[in-house]
Order: sequence, then C-alpha cells, then structure tokens
Amino acid sequence: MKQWVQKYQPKKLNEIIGQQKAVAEVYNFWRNFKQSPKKAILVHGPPGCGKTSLIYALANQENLEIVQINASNFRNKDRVESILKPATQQASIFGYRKIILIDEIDGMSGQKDRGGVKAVIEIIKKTRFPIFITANDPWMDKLRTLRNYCQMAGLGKLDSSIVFKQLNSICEMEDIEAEELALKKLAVSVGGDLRAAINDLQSMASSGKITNAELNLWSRERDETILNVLKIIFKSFDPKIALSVSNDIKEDINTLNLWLEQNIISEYDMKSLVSATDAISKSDIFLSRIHRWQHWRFLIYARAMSVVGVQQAKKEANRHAMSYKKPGLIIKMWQRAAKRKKAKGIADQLEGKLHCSTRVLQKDFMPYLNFIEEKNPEMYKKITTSLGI
Amino acid sequence: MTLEIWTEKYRPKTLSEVRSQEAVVSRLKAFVTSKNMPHLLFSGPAGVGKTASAIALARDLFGETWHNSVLELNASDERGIDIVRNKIKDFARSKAIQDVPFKLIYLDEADALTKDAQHALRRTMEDYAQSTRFVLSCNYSSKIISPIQSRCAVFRFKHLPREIIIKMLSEISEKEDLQFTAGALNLIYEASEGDARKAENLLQACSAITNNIDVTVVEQVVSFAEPKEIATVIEAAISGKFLDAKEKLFDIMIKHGLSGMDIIAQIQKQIWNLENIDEKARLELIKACGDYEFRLVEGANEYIQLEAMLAHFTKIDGKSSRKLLPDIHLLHRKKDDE
Repeated sequence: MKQWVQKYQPKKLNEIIGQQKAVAEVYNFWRNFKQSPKKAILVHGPPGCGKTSLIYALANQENLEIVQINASNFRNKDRVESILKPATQQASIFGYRKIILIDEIDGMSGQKDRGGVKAVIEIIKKTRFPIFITANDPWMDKLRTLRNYCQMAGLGKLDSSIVFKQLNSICEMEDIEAEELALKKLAVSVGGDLRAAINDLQSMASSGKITNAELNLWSRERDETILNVLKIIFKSFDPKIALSVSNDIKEDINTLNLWLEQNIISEYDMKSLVSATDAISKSDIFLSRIHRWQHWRFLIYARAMSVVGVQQAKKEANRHAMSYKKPGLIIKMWQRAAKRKKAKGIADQLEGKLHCSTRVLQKDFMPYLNFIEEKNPEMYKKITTSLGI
Repeated sequence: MTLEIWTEKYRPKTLSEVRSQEAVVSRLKAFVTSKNMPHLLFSGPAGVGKTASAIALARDLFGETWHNSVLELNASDERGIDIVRNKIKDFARSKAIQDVPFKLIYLDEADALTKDAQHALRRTMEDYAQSTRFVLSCNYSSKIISPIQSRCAVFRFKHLPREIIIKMLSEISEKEDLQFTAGALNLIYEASEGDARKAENLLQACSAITNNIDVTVVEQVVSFAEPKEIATVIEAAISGKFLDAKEKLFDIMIKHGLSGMDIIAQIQKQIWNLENIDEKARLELIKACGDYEFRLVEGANEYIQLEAMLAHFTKIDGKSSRKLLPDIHLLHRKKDDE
C-alpha cells in the first residue's frame, strides 16, 4: 500500500494551497538563478507544511532532475563533499536541468556533523545548479553563516480549513466514508501539519470508516509526538506509517524502547507482549552493536525491530484510548545504576587492602558494608576511615 | 576512632593460626624451616584459607617486613596477561635482601586466566625461577593447564567443617563483646556456605544492629545481602503474572542496587532451587536464562533485556503433565523387581 502522503503529493506548483508567497519566491529563484547573486534558497517552515513537496512539485512541473541529500544521511564534511561535488560540477547525465536539494539541514547535529554546514557553504560558492535547502528553524545559531549565502523563503503554518479541504478531497478519492466533524477535528488537532494529518487519516482509514469516536482514539497531541508514535505502533498495522512517524520524533530509539516497554502491558495481551518484548530486546542489541562496531546502519534494524517488531506482535489492537506513562521507573533504575557504579568504585579502592579481587569484594563484602551503612552510619564511617576511603 | 574489617583483623598471623588445613600447614611449615620451596598451587573453594595461608607463609618466611618480598596479584583484576608479566618483571628485577634466597609472587584467582595467558605465565615462571617463587591460587585445579600444574606442588584446601567456622565466630564474638545464640551462629554458617570470609563479614554486619546476636538479626542481614525474593519473581513469571514479576524484580534491584548481571546470576541460581516445577520446564528456564544473559552482554540496556526475559518466562508452563510420568515408571519397575 502506497503512503498517501506520497500518493497525494502535489505534482504542479498550482496544486499547492495556502503557500502562494513561498511558491512564488521559490519559482522566481529558480527562474532567475543565472542572474541571482545567491546560489541557494533556504526554504523554511514548521513540519508538514510542504517544504519538500514544494520543491518536488517544482521539479516535476519543470522536468528537473533532483539530487537529494538528506542532512541526516551525511555525517561529516568528507561525505558532504563526495556527494555534492560531482553534482555541482558535472552536467546532468540526462542532459536536462538539475537542482540540488539538501533536506532538513537543521537535522545536522552540532558535534557529529561538525564541518557539515561549512561544507555546504563551500558547495554553494562553487555550484552551477540551484541549491534548495529546507529547515524547520532557519534562525538557529549554527545556520547563521549559511543564511548570508541564501535567499529565504518562508512557508507558514497551514490553516486548519486548508488541511480539512485536503483531507476531504482525499477521502473522496479513496472512497472513504467520513464524518465531517471528525475530519474537522483531525484538521485542527494536527496544528498545521498536513503530513501528520494525512498519516493519521490513512491509519484511521485502515479500520474502515472515519467517525468522531474513532478520532478520539487517534487525536494527536502535537507537543508529545512520542505519545502519538506509541499509539500508532500499538494500535495500527501499517509498518510504513509507523516507521515514517517514528522518524519524526526527537527521541532516539533507546528512549522509544523505554516508552514501549513501560506501556506495552496496558496495550497488549500476554502472547503479544512476549513477542513484542523480544523485538525490543533485539532492537537493544542492535543499538549496542552500533557503538561497538561504529556501524550506523544497524540503526535501521534497531528501528525496524522496535517499531515494526512491536507493531506486528499483536493480533488485534486494543480499541480503548490509553494515556501512556513516562518510563519513570526505569529512569530511577538508571540513577540507581549510577549509585552502584559508585559502589564499584569503593570496591576498586579496596583492591589490595582486603587481599581479594574486586569481584569477590562485590559479591561477598559490599552487600554487608551496604547493610552497615544503612543500619549504623556511625560504624560505617569508622570502617571506611580505617580502610582509607 | 576507627574500626577494622574483621576479615583482616582476625586473619591468621602465622601458619600455626591457620584453621583446619592441617595437612597443608605442616608441609608449608617445612618450607619455612628449610627456607626453600617449589612453586605452589593452592586449590580449593572460596574462604577456606588459601590467601590466609599464603600471607601467613610469607610472614613466617620474611618476618614483619614481608610486604617488601611479596607481590600480590589478582588475575581477575589485572587487565591482560601482559600487565601481569610487566608487574612481575618489575618486581623480580631487584634481588631478595633477606636471608631467604627468593621473593614470593602470589597470584590469586589464577583460574581466571585464559589458556593462552596461562601458557604465557608458564614462560614467565621459568624466566624468573632463579629469584622468585610463585604461589598460584584457584578454585579448581582442573582449570589450570597441566604444564603449570606439573611445575607446582599442588595443595588442596578442604571445606571448613561446621565446628571450625562456629568456633571461629564464637572466638571473634568474645573478643568483640558480642552475645550470641547457638542458633544464630549455626544460621551464619548455613548462609555463608562454609566460606569463612563471608561468615566473618556477616557477623560484622550483624554487629551493626546489636550486640545481642540471635537468629532474627542474622536473618535480617541475610535477606538484605542475598535477596531470596528472586524465587518469587520467577514463580510469578511462570504463572503468567508478568506485571507482578516485573515490579518485584525492579523493587529488588532498586533495594539492593544490583546490576542486571548480578540479577541474572541470582535468577539462574534460584532456578535450580525452585520447588514444585516440572524438570523440563526448569531446563527451559535455564535455557532462556542463558539466552538472555547473552543478550545482556550484547545489549545496551539491561532493564529492557531483563523485562524481555520475564516475558519469555511467562511462556514456560511450570506444571506440565509430564511430571507424572516418572512416578508411573517407578511403579512399573517395582512390580518387575518383585
């Protein structure tokens, strides 16, 4: 099944609604590229307002080849250059015109992508093709220099009436029965994020018709997208949608795993839970292997296990709306673990003083010392002083 | 005002003070008299006096300045055989200053070394054989490669009998002004499984609450130090009460500050002690435990792994009908015998 966000992506610029100003700016930048002093345009706006769609629509309408670089796909200067350099200097192999798209430049994180923004600027200086850059927040400090080399085109938050119209027309084309109130509510709840709205619509449509009651189950809370991701993983069945929304949250997979683990019990029956926790366990192993082997592609498998593994573990979705809990207990456990490391520290300091290994100390001495610490702090003090710790 | 750890305070000062291991001690004393000895290999369970004997031997040989002539190493704490060798090299470089013509290297937990490391150690032992003697200690001599065993005089340390441990505990109690009941000392012996170090630590922990040590005091320490609730966690899991098991497990971890690896070791130990469980199910549990120990080593987040293990446990049916079969077999055989 094709994702509707792709299926209903605008093919021409005039299909884009509610962003006339930005459409004109982007189109003019491309038209007048030869004369323009600035060789790049920074297209910015909130998530799901149509930044990337706008550039694809332009390419489609004018028959341009897009060389796309997702900022999260490259991690350092060398890779930026190896990808971009040929594209900026060679003519297109198909002979027609070419544009370069650098998606989500603000997704480059400070430490790991050091030099990434700088490399992009170098490319802008040399490019023979127009460069389109998208960003959610163009006013970030790390993009300050980049802004000097770019024209700016801002997309606004989409009005909920426009979102509603889009949803309505998709429903007509997909032949889906939908309560008007439900669609309106959905349009409002996404806060201008059309992509989220369409994703939600598709998830709901998989269960038949769209009603107001159904919507309550699905309503989005924009500030806590992880809750929405949990809901989609626990309650829907389409892996592509689940993967796509899980890509949009700021939390990493490890955090997502903790959330899944915390809330799984309220959503799944025992049988589903067994195979879901197994999937999370495997995801966790991949996460650890990323660090051990410095092989980032394992992230794909980790995400697949967490998101799709848990999603597909169930036979039936729990039809009741749930309020998900934060993984509080587990965080407490982590703090405890930190304290335990301190205890390991004490054992290390004792090495050689008690004529046994830290392993033996951990096992046969620390529990008793901890007991003394808890029951008789004064005695504990005297003992630690005599041990010189 | 400071307080010493009793395992050190009451550590035997001379070979004569070493408890119980008569056969070992008399031979070691002969080495002291002749001021000559081969390499030694001490094998035996934990807390029966291997390290104590080695230190007492050193004291008897070198006197109060024994520290200068002894290098104490622990194989499980050293990072790699190369570090062990370098330390040995540095130590062996200087000549013995006393009238004893060699220095002593005590390598504890030598069975923690891999086979390759042991072969490297064997060469080191030969290189410095002129100036040093090695005392290796291990739990099982079978884990020491035979080339090393053949170069050493092997000393087997026996389990300490109940009376010895109880006598030791009551002597310490007297010196520390503690009142005790016979039941309390018995319980300490049971809980320490014949390990004198553990027994002494346990007694000292008891003294943190009161000077009148009875069974309840000991129980308090034991349940703190060795969570028995682990068994209830497994039982809850195999009877399908996942949430219950999970909460209990994390409670224990928080209360005792245990790592995932500590917990899984405890669980594995408890699986053997579970009562009223089908043997096939017990094996399933052990297998699952092993699988998840592997995942714990491989994985990033131990809580996620432990939780998955508990979920896996719920699949295991503890009371399958198979349990009846052996009984029936026995009945048949009885008939045949008649």
